[in-house]
Amino acid sequence: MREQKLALISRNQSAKGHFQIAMEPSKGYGSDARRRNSSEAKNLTATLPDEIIFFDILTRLPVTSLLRFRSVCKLWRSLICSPPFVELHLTRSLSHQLDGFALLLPVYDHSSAKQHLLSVSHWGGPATHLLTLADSTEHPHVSENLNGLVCLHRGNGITYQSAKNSHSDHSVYICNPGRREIVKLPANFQIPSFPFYVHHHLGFESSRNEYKVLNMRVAKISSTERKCLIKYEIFTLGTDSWREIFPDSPPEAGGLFGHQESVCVNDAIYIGSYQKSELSWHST
Amino acid sequence: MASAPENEKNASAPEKKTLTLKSMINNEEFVVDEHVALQSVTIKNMVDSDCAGDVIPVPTISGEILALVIEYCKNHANPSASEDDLKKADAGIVAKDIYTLIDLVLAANFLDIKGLLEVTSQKIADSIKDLPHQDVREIFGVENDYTPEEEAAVRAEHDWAFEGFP
Repeated sequence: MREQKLALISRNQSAKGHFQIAMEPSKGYGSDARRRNSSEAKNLTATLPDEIIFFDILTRLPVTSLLRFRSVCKLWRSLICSPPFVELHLTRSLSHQLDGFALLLPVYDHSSAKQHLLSVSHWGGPATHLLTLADSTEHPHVSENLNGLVCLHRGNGITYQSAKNSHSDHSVYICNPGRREIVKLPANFQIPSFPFYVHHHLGFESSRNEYKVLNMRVAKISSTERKCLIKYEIFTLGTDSWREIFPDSPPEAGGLFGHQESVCVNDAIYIGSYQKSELSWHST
Repeated sequence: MASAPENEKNASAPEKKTLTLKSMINNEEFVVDEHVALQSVTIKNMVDSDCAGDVIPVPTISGEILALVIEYCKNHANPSASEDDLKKADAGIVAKDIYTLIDLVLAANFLDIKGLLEVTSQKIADSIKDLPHQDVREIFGVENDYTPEEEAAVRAEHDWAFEGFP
């Protein structure tokens, strides 16, 4: 199946310049015998080459239709989820607002003490329930939309030292509201003993086609000292672990306090700061 | 090529050059201005490389479809047509049933007319987006190679997308 996929993709790439000048019937277009008069005999199959079906037609469909059409056959299922298809579909979606969500709404239900995350599409209609977080009084923090993905984590990122209020759960989720899919990232990093805040920022590295989450933890060295220690870890989607990174010129911890807002542009994550200049961060 | 100041070229310049396209499906012939036909990269390549005779045979494209293609090319070769006019005219050309659209997208691909390929593909996408996947199978002539169990499992992964569908 994999080889078939690759063959199809490379065929498409070379075919964009398109078919030979010689105007002779070629196999790709079906023989005359298979042609039908369009006003009759509709039960005969059309003879569209796969690259037109996939790259010219299906990439123009909304996500909901594509998720249904995964059921057409095995080839469709694997191609609809293949990176070249996804990439082209994303490019078209961004220029046409093809689909996806316009709003993400964190909602708190007092009676059950649960947080819910809902999404609403560009065309309105009923909201879709994406996620429920129990035992959380604060809205989850939702990142900027990055190619249809958002990163969310519990609470406002600020941790408190009184045992009652402490957020022991720093779960991070990556959510694709268009597909209604949510992945919880492993949270195996160590929360420092005197945490100050824990923030997450979503980034995309185009050269490797990888999505990454930057985790920043600021901790006091002790409960009495003012001095802070910052730790950074990176998670690459598709892998299963965090790795610590050591930036060359780390920012002042104080300037970042309370700033969860960030945006990823051209492979760099920009994080809001109280200092004069913004911190930029390459997601490598 | 147009800049070559040869007598031969100058002589033919005043009168409008035409090409004849002939559908090999039903032998229908269409006489079109050359600049209209040159919207097709395939035909342009033929003309540029002197492969085109007086009559250009077009295999696998019926006269009915060829007429639509030529209508599109005429509209888009008209320099005074506004963007709005073209949009309306394009919408008229692709206001056809799905099987005609499939023939048209094939023709656009074969003749390499990018704009027509895009507008037809978009129309096909719009026409199938709310269809059940079983109908889409039939339209594209795709054989279902799932076992019933596999198909149910794939569907269950995004069951919500099937709300209201068989």
